[in-house]
Amino acid sequence: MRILHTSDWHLGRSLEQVSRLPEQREFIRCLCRIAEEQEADLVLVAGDVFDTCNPSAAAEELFYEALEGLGSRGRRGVVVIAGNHDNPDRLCAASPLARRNGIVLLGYPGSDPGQSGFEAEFADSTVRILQSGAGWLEIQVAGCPHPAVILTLPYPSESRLEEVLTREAEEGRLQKAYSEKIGEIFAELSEKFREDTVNLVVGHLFLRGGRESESERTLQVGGALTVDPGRLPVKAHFAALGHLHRPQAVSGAACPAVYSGSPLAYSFSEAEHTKAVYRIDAEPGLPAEITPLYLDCGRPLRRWVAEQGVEQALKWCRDGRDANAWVDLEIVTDRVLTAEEQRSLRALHSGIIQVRPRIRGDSGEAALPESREGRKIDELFREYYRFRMGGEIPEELMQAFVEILSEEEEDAGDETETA
Amino acid sequence: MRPKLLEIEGLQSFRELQRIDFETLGETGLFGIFGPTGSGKSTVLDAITFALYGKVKRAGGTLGILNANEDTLKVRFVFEILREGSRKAYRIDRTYQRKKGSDHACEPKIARLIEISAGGEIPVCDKPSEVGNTVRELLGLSHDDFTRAVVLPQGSFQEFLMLGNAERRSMLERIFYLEEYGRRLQDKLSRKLGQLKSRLDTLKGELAAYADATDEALSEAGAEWKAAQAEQTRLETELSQLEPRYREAGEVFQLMMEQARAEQALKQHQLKQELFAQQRRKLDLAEKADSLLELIQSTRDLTENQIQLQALLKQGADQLAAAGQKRDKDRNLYEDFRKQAASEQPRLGSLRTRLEEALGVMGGIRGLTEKKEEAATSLEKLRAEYARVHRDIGAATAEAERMEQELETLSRKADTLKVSPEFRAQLQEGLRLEGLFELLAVKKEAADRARQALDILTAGQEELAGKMRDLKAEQERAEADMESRREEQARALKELEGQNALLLSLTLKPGQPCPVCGSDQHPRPAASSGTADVPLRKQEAEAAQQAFKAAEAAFRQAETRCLLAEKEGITLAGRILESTRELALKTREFEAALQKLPEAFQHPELPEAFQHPELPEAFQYPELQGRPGACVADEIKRLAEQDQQLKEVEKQILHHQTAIRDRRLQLDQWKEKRAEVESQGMKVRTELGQHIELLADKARKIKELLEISELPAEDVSDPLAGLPGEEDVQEEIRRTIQKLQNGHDETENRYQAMQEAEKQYGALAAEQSGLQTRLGMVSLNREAQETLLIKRLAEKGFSDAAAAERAILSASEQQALKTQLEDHQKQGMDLHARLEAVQGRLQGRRIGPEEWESLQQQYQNASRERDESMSRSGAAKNRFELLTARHARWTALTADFQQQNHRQGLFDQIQKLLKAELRKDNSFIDFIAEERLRYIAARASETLGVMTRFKYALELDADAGFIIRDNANGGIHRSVTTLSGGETFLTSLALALALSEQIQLKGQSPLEFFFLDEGFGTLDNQLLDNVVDSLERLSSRQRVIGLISHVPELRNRIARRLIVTPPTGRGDGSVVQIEKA
Repeated sequence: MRILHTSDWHLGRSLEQVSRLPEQREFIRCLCRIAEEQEADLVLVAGDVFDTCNPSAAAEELFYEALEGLGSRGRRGVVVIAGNHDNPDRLCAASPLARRNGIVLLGYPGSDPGQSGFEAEFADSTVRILQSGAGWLEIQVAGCPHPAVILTLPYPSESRLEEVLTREAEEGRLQKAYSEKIGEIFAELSEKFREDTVNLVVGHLFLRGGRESESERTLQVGGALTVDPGRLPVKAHFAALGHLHRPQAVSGAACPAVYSGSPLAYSFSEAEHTKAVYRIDAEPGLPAEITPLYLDCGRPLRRWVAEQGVEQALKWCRDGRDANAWVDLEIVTDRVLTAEEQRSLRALHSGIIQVRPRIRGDSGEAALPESREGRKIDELFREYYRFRMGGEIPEELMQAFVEILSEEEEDAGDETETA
Repeated sequence: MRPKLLEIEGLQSFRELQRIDFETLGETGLFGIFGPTGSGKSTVLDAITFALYGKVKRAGGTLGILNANEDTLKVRFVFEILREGSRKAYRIDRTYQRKKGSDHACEPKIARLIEISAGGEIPVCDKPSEVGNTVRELLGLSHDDFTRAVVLPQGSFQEFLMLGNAERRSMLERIFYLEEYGRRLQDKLSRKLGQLKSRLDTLKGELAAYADATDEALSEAGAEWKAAQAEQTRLETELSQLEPRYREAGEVFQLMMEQARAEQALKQHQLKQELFAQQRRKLDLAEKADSLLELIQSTRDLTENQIQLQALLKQGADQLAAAGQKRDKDRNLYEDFRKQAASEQPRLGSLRTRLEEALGVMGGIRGLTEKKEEAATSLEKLRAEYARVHRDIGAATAEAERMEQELETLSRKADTLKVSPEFRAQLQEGLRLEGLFELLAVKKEAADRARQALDILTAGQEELAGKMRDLKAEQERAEADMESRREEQARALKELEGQNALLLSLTLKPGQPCPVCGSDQHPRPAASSGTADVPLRKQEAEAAQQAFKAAEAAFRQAETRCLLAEKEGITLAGRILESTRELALKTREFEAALQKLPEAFQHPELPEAFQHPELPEAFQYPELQGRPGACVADEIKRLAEQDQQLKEVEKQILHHQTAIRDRRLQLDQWKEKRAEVESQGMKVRTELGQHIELLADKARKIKELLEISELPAEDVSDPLAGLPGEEDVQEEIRRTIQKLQNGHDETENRYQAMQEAEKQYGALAAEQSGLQTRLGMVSLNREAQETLLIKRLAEKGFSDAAAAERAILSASEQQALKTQLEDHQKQGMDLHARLEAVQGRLQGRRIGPEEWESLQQQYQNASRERDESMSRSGAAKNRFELLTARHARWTALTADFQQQNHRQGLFDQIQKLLKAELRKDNSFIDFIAEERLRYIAARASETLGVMTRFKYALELDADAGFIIRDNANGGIHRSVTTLSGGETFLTSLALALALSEQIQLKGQSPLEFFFLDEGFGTLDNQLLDNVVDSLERLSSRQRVIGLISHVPELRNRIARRLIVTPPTGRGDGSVVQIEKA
């Protein structure tokens, strides 16, 4: 069985004010082409299809276009789960149409793709759901000798996770740590894996040890939602993960686990990543063969620092440096940039997202002052006199100041609560 | 400070108690409060400031904060403070009540700050103002600071950013504890100045009061005092001269008055003389009567005594007669009783003896009856047991018989199952033979296979030999061809060589070295034989060479093929040899197998090595021939089954035999027991008979004993019937003893009574005779006394005893009379003496009243004048002394005033120095705080940069005011007031975060939470994302950030939410609920 793994499309996401939709459309077409060329049997999309829970119509249209192209009228199985950016209900709204084409959309950790009860629903498709339950399904693609059992874990927020566990009415489970809860769900579901099936996991999670980028929305505020990679099911051929934008295999995982990463660079911190989708060839009883297929769609992101001022930046533009890229430009200067300079920079390079002057000598780091506050008040006053009057303070005046200082503290409190 | 728990009741839109657990809410470091407009989100914030400071900023105090439907509002806030490394928890309770008759106003009822420690709750203070002040001290923040830096309510968000310099400075002062340099220093200075001013004022006032104490005034008062002193001396002299005359005249006048009074009193005394003579007479008479009084009394006593004795004698005679009668009666009674007792006693004694004997016998009966009953019971038991054993014996016998029958059936069955040993042996042999035949077949097949393989190999060898021959012929042909080609080639080459010399000669030039011999002399170049032939020859030579090469290749190929075929032939020969060996081995094995068969079955004509060995068709075991189709193995199996069955049946037989034996044994035991029970029964019955007989004996005995008694005794067949019970007999014995005792006691009593009566009579008789004697003596005495009395009365001049008694006076009366008489006499003598004394002192001197009056007047006047002069002199002295003291004070005050005036000048100078500049009230604090403010601005700038992707930076201008650097516009500076709503929000947020971070670093109680109310509505989605990302990264366990918003995107982004549900129309208040993402 041949499987394609991708995730974190973030359809509708923009870079500052610039829309990335054209690049995203380019990626979708590229992905459909790859699916055809590679003759994939199954496509797994591991969450964060959209960038916001309230995506634009154009973004949704692009998503449906992608499903249409990937599913290829039911010849290929497609499983999509919701990520932390997605609105689970909204993502699955198209399910009635999707099912007829062998496409499974899942919103919540406990979602059951087969619960609708229509046997004939896959009538148009050569893809069949053989069995299913909360959080798992067994899928058969025509022309493929083995069915696949897939454990699905759409983004399990704390409350969604609790809901899954509450359904099983086991109070003790709710008390456990997030990672343990996820592990228990996996342990329970992995009993569905069989010797004669291809066993897969698709999930949207943050695994400990995963490397983050700037464009992800952090999931581990206070470390709460971090999952121990050892909790993945041992028997799985492959775990297709979503959330991190850098393509990477997770070390220390109980089964081969891979973040496919986002298809486009969404922040300047990802300028150096090569984006990819993964191809997995799996057969029952054999280790899966995992191959990254590198992508070359969309415009790259570049960070320029013009140490020698505006002239250097202008020269780079004129030389056509990174002409196809989106550029974050920092100019080291000792004066304010004029409007004219900014205009000409943008005219020379259409991909400049932002121009930021850095005043030379400004390290940007502030030192914590302790010099004055720590000293004795009479010394300070002497210094202040010098600063103010330009001469030494007469001893008589200093005596008077000390006399003021030695004045008894008045009882505090008479000046507060005057409302 | 970190909030832990908040409870709200009756505040604004809240009605019933709502509880917010900040521990759960702040778990991830970031939480949001969400709800529709008007649901009471901001009230949560208000409740915190209200709990801490007792006022709500939005309401400007407490007016209108009470829910319209409630009369009480309660807020409880629990928080922790980290101070000097240790955590302390506090709780504030505030309860306010609606002011009577007011719609909006409310007043505090309870306000309490409590420290919650491990040991319990310690109240800190409980007055509204105290609570506010203590909180201010604990947090180091005033209400305004708190709302600016920690809880940022709606609308007051950008306050710190936009604050005037002075206000911002005072806030920094408080937050960073710079008050020592600022407000407190100012306060001290103002206070000092105030003190000085009032001191100067006081001095001025005092000096005004001492305006009269100058030097001139002092000398004037001295002169006045001296004049007054002289006047006083003169008047004192005058008075002393008048004094002797005045004293003598006074004395004379007094004496004359005294003389007149004495003369008057003497006259009064003489008038009372006659009255006192009468009194004296009365006293004399009384004294005489006194001497007779004793005699009269004793005579009267004796008379009375005599009368008494006579009465007593008469009474005693009556009593004596009565005692005599009683004595006689008691004596008769005793005699009667004694006689009666003597006749009754012996009868009762014998009755008692018999009764006691009967009781003994009865005790025996009780034991016997018990034994009899016991025997009867055991007899009954034995009877039942006998019946049971008897029944068991019957049943067991029947069962034993049935088992014996069954045993017989089993034995018969066993006989049928037995098999003869001969048949068994035959079967074993058959099994062995079958194995041998099988082995033989296998061996034969192996030998066949080996032979077939050999055949194939031999055929192959022959074929190969033919092929070899063909190949050899071909090789020879190729060789011949090759040789002919070689010759052809040699020929062609030779021709070409000739042509070569010609070609060379054409290229040679004189003076140049020949490429063949190197000589630069070319004496004999080859002559041309037709230059046109050269290329043709060359072509031919090449063709010949090619043909030769092809022929050579063909030959080599043929040679190789030949060699290969040869090699194959060798291999094949080896394999044939191997196969031949194999066949021989297999054949031997087959023969060995055949040998093992019994001779009868060995084939007469054993095959030769390469012949096909066949077995005769009819190898059959004669024993089995009668059973066509039956297999030996099957038969053996059946036999085994039959054996098994037999074993089973034998086991059953054994079992049955054992069971029958057990039954019989048991039956014998039971029979034995039956006999035993029977004999026991006999024994018990005899015993029972004996008991009954003994009982009858006893009964008879008792009846005999009791027949004489009054108890009923009937003779019936049952020996015990009609016998009285033991209790009855005992009762009878008790009664008899009682009767005996009673008779005895009564006799004794009677005797005692008789004795008593006798004794009484004796005593009375003795008493009577005593009385008679005493009466005689008394009569004699009385007569003697009476004679004496009459004689004495006559002597004293009293007619009889009564007259004497009348004259008697009591001793006190006599004494009073005596004293009166003496006093009167003494008074007369005194008066005479007094008169004489006065006359003696006067010695004839006299003075008239008028003269005395004028002298008196004169003296008084002189005396008054002297007193007046004295007081005048004293006053003058006082005034002078007072003025002397005041003058000294006046001098000191003047000096002090001048000194203080100088100090005021110095303080004024310091105050001016601290103000220094016109617009500022303390530039000293600016001097100190500027560094810190700059640092805060830099920190805020960093955060702002992250949130806006470095579009903006925050800086300080020369006046330490905030200013924005706009990087998106090339880095120009802008005033903070030119920022848009969203930009202002971001900048304020960054500033507030930096500020709270600073408080955390510097403050004595770090702020561990931070609240934002609204402001997010001003941001677009992109910016909102950035801000929330930044907040997520900034928040931590150390600092919890809380947001209040109605922006839905925000709600989806935040993991911990407090959902506030607005009040419904039905009258309930806002409701809160914690939700997780």
